[in-house]
Amino acid sequence: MEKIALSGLSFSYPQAESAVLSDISFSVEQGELVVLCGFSGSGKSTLLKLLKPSSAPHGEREGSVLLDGQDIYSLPQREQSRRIGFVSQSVERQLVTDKVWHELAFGLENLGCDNQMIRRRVSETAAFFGIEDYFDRSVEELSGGQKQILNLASVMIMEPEVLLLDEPTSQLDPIAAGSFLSLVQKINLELGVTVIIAEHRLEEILPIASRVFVLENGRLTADEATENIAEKLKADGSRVFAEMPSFMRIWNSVDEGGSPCPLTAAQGRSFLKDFFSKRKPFPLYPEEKRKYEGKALELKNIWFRYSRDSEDVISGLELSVEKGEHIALIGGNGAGKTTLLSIICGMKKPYKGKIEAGESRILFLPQDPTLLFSGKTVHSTLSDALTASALSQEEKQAKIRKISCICKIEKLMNRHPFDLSGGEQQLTALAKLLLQKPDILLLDEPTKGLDANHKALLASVIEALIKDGVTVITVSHDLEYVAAHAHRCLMMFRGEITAEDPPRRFFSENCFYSTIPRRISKDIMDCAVTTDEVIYCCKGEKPKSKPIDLNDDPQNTAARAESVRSSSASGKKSSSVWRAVLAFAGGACLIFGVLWGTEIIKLKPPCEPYFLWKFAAVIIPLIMLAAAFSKLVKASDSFDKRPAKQKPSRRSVIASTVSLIAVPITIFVGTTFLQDQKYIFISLLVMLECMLPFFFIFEGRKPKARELVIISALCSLAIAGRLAFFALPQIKPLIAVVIIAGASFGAETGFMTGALSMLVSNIYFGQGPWTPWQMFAAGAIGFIAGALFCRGVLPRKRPVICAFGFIAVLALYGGIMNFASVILVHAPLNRASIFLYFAQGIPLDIVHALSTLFVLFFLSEPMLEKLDRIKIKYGLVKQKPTSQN
Amino acid sequence: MKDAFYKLNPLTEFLFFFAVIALSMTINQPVFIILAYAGAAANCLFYNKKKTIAFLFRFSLPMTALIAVINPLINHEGMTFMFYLPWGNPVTLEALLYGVASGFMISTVMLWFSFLNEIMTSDKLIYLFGRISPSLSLIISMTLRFIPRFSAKYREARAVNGIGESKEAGVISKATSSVKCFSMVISRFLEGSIETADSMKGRGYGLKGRTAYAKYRFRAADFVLMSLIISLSSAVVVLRITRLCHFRYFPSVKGELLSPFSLALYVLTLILVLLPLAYSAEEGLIWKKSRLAV
Repeated sequence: MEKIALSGLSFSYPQAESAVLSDISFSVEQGELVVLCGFSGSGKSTLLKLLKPSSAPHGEREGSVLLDGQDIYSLPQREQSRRIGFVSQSVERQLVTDKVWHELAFGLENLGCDNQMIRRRVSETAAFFGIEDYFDRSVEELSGGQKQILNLASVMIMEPEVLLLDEPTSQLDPIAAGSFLSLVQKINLELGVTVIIAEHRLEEILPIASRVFVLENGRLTADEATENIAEKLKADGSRVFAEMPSFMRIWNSVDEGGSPCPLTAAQGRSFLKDFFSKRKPFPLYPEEKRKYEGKALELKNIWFRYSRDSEDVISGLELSVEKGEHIALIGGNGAGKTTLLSIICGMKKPYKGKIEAGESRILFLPQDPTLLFSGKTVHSTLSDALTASALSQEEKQAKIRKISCICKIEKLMNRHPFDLSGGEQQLTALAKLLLQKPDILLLDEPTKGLDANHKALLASVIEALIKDGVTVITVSHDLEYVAAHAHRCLMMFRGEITAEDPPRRFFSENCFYSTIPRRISKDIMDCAVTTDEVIYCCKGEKPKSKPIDLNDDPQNTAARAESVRSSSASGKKSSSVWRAVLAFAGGACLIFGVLWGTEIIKLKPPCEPYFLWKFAAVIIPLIMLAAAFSKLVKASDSFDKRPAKQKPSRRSVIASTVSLIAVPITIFVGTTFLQDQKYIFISLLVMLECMLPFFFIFEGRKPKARELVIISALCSLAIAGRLAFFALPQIKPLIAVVIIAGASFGAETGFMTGALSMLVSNIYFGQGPWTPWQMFAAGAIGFIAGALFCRGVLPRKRPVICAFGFIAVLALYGGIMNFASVILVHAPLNRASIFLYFAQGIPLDIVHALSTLFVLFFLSEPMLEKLDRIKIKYGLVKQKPTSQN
Repeated sequence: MKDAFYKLNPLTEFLFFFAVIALSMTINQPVFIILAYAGAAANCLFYNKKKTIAFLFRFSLPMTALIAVINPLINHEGMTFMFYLPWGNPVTLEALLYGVASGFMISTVMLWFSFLNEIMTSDKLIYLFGRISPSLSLIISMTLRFIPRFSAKYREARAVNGIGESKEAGVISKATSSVKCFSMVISRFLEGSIETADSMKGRGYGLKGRTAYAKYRFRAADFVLMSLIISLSSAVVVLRITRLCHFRYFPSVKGELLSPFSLALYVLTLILVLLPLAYSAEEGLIWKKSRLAV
């Protein structure tokens, strides 16, 4: 029975020249496991995303996708989110909540299952996927492999009929990848779920796949049963063969017709056995003899641990590296490889031992190349590497041009580095390091997630560097890459180097930790450890290396971001000016009214009844404020909500009315009937009454996923800032981030960010009686920033934002918090006590305000720019209607 | 058993904290203050001895003393004159006593909060918020998920871009480069956050009728404790509102400390503040008994 059927599916990104996918038709049977392969940029990801409408990219789509005969795009959202599961390659980003159990329950909560049902399903799923052990833990504590298994489990808990996997193991180490793929197989075999998986790591997945699809430049060039795929590709002379496992590549160049293509390492071994049943292998060419010119780096007796009472991560390590040598560190997880790299480049200090590197410049390419991306374009990122150098402008440009040609990124110079594919990002990061002229280059898992093309390109750049005399130290799990390119391999185990040899000897003597070509050729050939070497032993000649040509890959992925131009929302100024005036007047009157109502200012009302006067003094400014802000708030909200004409929901009307009535009543009742503790009561209640309507309105309008994510991201930035600068006294970027959030996303988001980030940051720093005041103060600042900047009342310029930040912190935040301390210690509300408590607060407030100004000075412009990019790229601002549902 | 109170339904715990904090904040009857302070301290000591002792001596007591000293300086009500301040204002006995009382009141509140921080973990906070507003509670949960992710990336980026401990630079230049690095990580982080939104949508977020799963159950103990907390605290509130055991500081200290109503207040308060301890002790006894039976 056909589960999924595509006919004539084409897709192109808006305003891109060529289509990403053209005319793709295939069908997948119920319970099949299908592998999708092709180079990166061939459209695999786009194709998979199109099979799940909720993650389908914006763009032009033609043709149809049927699930059980029904058009997938006409299925109700409930159906398609339940029936189609999707797991992507970014392990971290798919996780939504902070706890493992909550992550599992998330999907079922969305479907509206009751507690009983969720409890049952969560427990059985946890048991099936083997995650009982860390069920109660924070997601953060899990390893990469565990996280990806959790992603799989929390998709599978919704019982999808089709599971789409987009390079799910590309960020995992081989062992974690193995256990992930075996779970996928279990799901397919035991539950009969239809699986479509895109993968570069084919050794493990091919044997269990029933069919293989090959995508090239957006076209489906092969749709074959797994047994026949090799023949088909060979007949076509397809370049995609480079992606196939080593034993298949060996078969490809060696087989003289007759024997079927091996699909597992074991079959590959018997293929070779058969091949050499009648002949002898050619003796292997000798390893290149290399001469080095002295030592580049020497480590003597290095000891390292993270804290005093923890275990040693590096214990007594000795290592010496020659100039121009390429060494590779391999070993299991937790062997200390990455730690060793950070010690070599000086990021971590050993507690014992000596590092001798002379004057050499040591640079580090981290596993995550995006950490080096500082600019808006590839070009500006590269230029940043040269800011310190004394070269003239032309020399710098020439240098950048030269390096970018070497790294083959010259065509990407104007793209945003985050829009590039993984391989292109790796090369860009490498180019940035090369501009700084390293003597020693440290690479951490450089081939992770790369396809064969980019891997070859990276290797050729590295080879060129070594010829140039640069010393390279690579940490990798990719044994074939290491075997082919390193000069010396070192095995790390529990913080020590346990074996070191040139690659041939190293991998010939290992029996488990060895390359696949070695494993299948063991006892047949002497010491062939790479695919090319095995092929040489078979044929007596080196395989012709196919020219690398990356240029014909249509890389349209980023076109959408570039094509969409920013449509800055410049509001009408004239109408908002009087509103701002009204708001300020209302605010001033309100402060007066409250002070009068609480009898801090003692004034006799003109005539009886007194309480009516006081009542009016509070409610009239509130109405003014409401009038001033009602339109500001609505208009300034940049989230694309609902049709603009729709009336505000009943809930929000009720909520705002309630607060408009409740606040003055509270003040009135409080001042009239309470004696001793009236100020605490009144202020707490007033704050609650001001904040709750916001929360209710927010809840009532059912915010979209993207809104929630943006608000949480902003909150976490604010709090992470508070944590990050914890060591520096009073440099707390929290308020600064809140102001930027408001300025970019409007009053409501500003308020939510302020209030919630205070609440959550107190989870770290301790809740206290001050929590509501802090929430109120930060929320108010965010709200005002949103009302002023987002709507264009004040220009979104650096000096203005800085000045606003300074005043807001000093007057609003400081004012509210000092007032809070007066009230909390039950001090009498008279001039002396207010003066005293404000005086003791002001020095710290000034430091706080200055630090906010400082942070805003550096952060406001780049961050607003980034937020604008996000808004445009992901369609958070209103634009011309897109074709997507 | 130490974790007995911790393992109750968060609603019960929240109700307890709400009651004791609200009462400690608003009742200034001297014996009540002492009982509440002692009760809060006892609970804290039971859960975390070392931290509480440090908290008491480093923070709570000095703060109480400070407030007691400050109050007479700014508050000049009261009839019992003691002496004049250099700038001419009088210091009164009532203001001093009131200062001591309010110092202890705020210290009690702080103690309750330190107990609350021990008991109300983020999980429970999210659960409580989920009762009122599911989206807010989801935001909190996601924020807690993002913070460590962001911090880790920030640390990594700092290290990779060479702002380590190794360089000796001034505070300003260090802060400048930190802020720049911060801004660098932000863009990476924001790009990724949209993928999170897709993952949410892919798993059905935004459908009608979302529920909030709670792994907490409502057991018999919760029921009993909740009704105890409600009845005890409402009794105290009634005593407070009807001013049956009223105590005043100004213009002169006056109030009956040993009237029947006051005695009732003490008993009710004592039971209320010691509920967590009593519950833990009872669970401990049950465990012991079950061992004896074997």
